[in-house]
Amino acid sequence: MYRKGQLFSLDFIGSVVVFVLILTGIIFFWNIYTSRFNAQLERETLTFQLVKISDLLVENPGIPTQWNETNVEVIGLVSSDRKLQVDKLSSFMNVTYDKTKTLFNIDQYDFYFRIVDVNGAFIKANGQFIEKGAFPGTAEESIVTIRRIVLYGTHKVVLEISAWK
Amino acid sequence: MELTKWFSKFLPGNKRAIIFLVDIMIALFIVVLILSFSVFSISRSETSPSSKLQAHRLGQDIFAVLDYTDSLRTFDQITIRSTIDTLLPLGYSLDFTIICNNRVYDSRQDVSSDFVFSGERVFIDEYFHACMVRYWIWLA
Repeated sequence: MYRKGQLFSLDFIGSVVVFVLILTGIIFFWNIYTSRFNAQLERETLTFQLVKISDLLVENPGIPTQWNETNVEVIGLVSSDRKLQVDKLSSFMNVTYDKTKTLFNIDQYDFYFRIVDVNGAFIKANGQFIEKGAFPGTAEESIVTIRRIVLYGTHKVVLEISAWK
Repeated sequence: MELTKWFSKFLPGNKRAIIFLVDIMIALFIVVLILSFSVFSISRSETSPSSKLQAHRLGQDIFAVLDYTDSLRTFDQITIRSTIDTLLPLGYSLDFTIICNNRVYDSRQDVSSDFVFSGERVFIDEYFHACMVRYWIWLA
């Protein structure tokens, strides 16, 4: 009777050990994939948001149409579809960084904006380089960058906007 | 012991082993089901919808710029190809077909089957015919 009970106990302990090992493994991998999934989801959300912002910038003149840094409601940088307007670029440079984040609805993120030529060289508007925000550091892990091709006069240029948390 | 004896009346022979086997099969089935679902979810999430969105905007931008600079209108195939090569970021490939009244130009050579995005743009040529360019973008 005693020996049979002992055998049952070993059986039970063995199965519990195996069960706990499997459960630990599953929880471990579940946590890894959950955190990866959440990070990817956040990245996707930010990408969608940046694409929508870039759509506004390159396809719309903004609200009001002749906006400036004081009366701007929606930022748009073009006179018509994908044709940049120098005055709007200048006005955009004068809008403060925090106000721009609010207008873009990305308050919880930092961003960096610039316009470069197809070789990556900076473009100037009214004598100043067209860039806004702080260049992201290499430590920023989840930087999302959207590049749009637009016309600046007759030149084809690249509008870049990056954001990160 | 008495209880086991009592139970053994109902479970003679190898029935206990059968119950154990069914137990394992059900457990394995559940584990395989969960793992399959996880792998399926992960593989789905790896084909990122945002990269499709970026390819979509890239195609729209390139052909809008070509349209506004009159390269499409004049049907200048060399200029169109060189402009595309200049504007296309590293890692992307693009082929296109222009159908314009009775003229057709097809640049397609080896459109990859892996993640292809396609789009269209309608424009007016120099003879005021309605033309269409169809393009395919993929990650090289």
